[in-house]
Amino acid sequence: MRARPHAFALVASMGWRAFMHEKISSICLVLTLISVLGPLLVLFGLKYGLVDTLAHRLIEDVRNREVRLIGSGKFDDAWFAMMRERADVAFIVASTRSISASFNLVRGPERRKSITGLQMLATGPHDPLLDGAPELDNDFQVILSALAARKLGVSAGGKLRARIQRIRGGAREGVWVDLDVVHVGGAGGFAGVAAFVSRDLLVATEDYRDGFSVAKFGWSGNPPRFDSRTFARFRLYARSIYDVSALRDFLTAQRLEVRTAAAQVEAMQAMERRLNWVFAIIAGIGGVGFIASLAASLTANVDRHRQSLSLLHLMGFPKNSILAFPTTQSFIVALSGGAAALMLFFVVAFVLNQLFANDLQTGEYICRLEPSHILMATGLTGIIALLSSIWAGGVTLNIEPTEGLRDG
Amino acid sequence: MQKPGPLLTMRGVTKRRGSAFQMVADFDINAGEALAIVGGSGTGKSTLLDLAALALQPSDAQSFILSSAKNKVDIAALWQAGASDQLAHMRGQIMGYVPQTGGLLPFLSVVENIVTTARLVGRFDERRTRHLMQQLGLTGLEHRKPETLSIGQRQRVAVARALAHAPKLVLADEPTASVDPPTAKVVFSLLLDTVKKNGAALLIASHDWALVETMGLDTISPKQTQKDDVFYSHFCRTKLAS
Repeated sequence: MRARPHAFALVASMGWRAFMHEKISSICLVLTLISVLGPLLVLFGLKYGLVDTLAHRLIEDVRNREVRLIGSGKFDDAWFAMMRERADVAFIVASTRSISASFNLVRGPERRKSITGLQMLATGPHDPLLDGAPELDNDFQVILSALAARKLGVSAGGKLRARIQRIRGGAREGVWVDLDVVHVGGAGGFAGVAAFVSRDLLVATEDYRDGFSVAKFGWSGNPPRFDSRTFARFRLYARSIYDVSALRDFLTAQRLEVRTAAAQVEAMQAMERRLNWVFAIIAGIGGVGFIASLAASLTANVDRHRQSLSLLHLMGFPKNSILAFPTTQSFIVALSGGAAALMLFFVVAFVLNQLFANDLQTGEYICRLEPSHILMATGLTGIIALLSSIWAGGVTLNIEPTEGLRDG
Repeated sequence: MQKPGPLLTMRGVTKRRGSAFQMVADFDINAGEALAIVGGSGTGKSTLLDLAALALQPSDAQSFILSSAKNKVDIAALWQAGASDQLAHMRGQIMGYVPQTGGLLPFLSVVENIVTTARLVGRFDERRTRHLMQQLGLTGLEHRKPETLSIGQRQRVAVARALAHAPKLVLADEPTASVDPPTAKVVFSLLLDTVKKNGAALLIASHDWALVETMGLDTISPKQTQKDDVFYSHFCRTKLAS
């Protein structure tokens, strides 16, 4: 004969009543859970908050995705096309020799504000350094870094005059280029003094400096070369910080010496892996300890109520229904202890985040958990409660109805 | 019209305790009848009561039958089949039990204790509960916890609980063992009176011969013999010596 559902409900309600009746021992049970789960949540919150903040900083800073070429090489359009095809490449643009990639002089709207030797950086669609900036429509548009714009006293919509000079045949020559500033400021990570220009303007600058004429810009000089064009340098960004190592390895295999932030990224990843292990070990020990502690407490509780549970069986309650007694108590402990541990976590996390507020940027936390983590912790606590109640429930199955009849 | 058979029949129902003690029960109890199991300590009164309460498995039985309204149930066969939940179901439906010291659930109030079995078997009746409490002088104690009651009050709550679901058979195990003689007499009288008024049969274990005699109950007492180092305690109906 199977236990009737309302027999389970009646015994479950008795489990609740007994739990509330023995306030001190019930509070001890809940405190046991808080003492294990609370520190675990804080520890996990710290691990997650700290690693997440470091990873976020690495991810957010586009410089960490840059793969910088040391020295120079010869890269043709086919090579650039091949690189653009790679899934781990977010952005690549050809660049000229460093010595050619600058304006000799740039004047702002106010003539007394100028910059000599302003660095030129070729740009193109989806440049990570210009996140949110409009794309350049023509070769006479320019995007200035915030610092360059300040030095020139210009803002978006302003105009500049830039001077490109060369020495050809022992004579000093130069051209003026009128430029429109379409945007000021780069991504958060870019703090240099630079002007982002079209690739054609940069190439034209190099050609002009090399003494050639540039028909597109009306600059006179020696007849232009007709051999296939190669570029000495490039500006390359990986799709994510986790792609940097692969890109570095690929370029190194091509005998190119590059510099990346891969070491930092790998250090962060290694730290995350080690922290995961540390946390898993601590959580494992804590979890096993908690199961044992809760199961032992529930078993002791069942033992203390042995006579009452035996009486229930004598009064007609099916043996299986008596399982509801420790199971209910186990879930009450899990729910109340879990909720209290979460509250403890939120308080501690708030205090820690306040303590480290000066070292954190907006949106960063030293200790935090995602809703998914909280759901996971709740689920795990439920499973632990279930396992513990099964352990304690085994004891109830051995209780005989005659046990409640004597020595009461 | 055919006369209804006994409510409980125990013929050759045996319980062995180790190799040195054997208790045998041979008696019937009819609906509405009150029987006292009397005998000294160690004679097996409680063992007999546990067997009758379907709480203890017999070692052997010639005939162990409980008659319900619709059919006769072979208790020995149920025990052999390991049908502990069916036995529990029958305990709830047919029996009420008054343990020695009340055996109340400490975490429930008086009224909750009283209605526990009635709720389980679906026979909760508020009027009946109130009436029983009134009969047993428990009115006003409804929401008290057992720990705040005197032993006599607890015994009365246990009696009310045993009767609240209108069982056919009430079993009481030394219900006056832990109370003083005047209270014992009151509890005994209340139990007899309430059981009688509720139309149930009563099987009461007691070592208090004098009290049982005063109450004029029919008795079941042990005939004790010893054979080959085995102590036999054979319970059957007897007349008390006056």
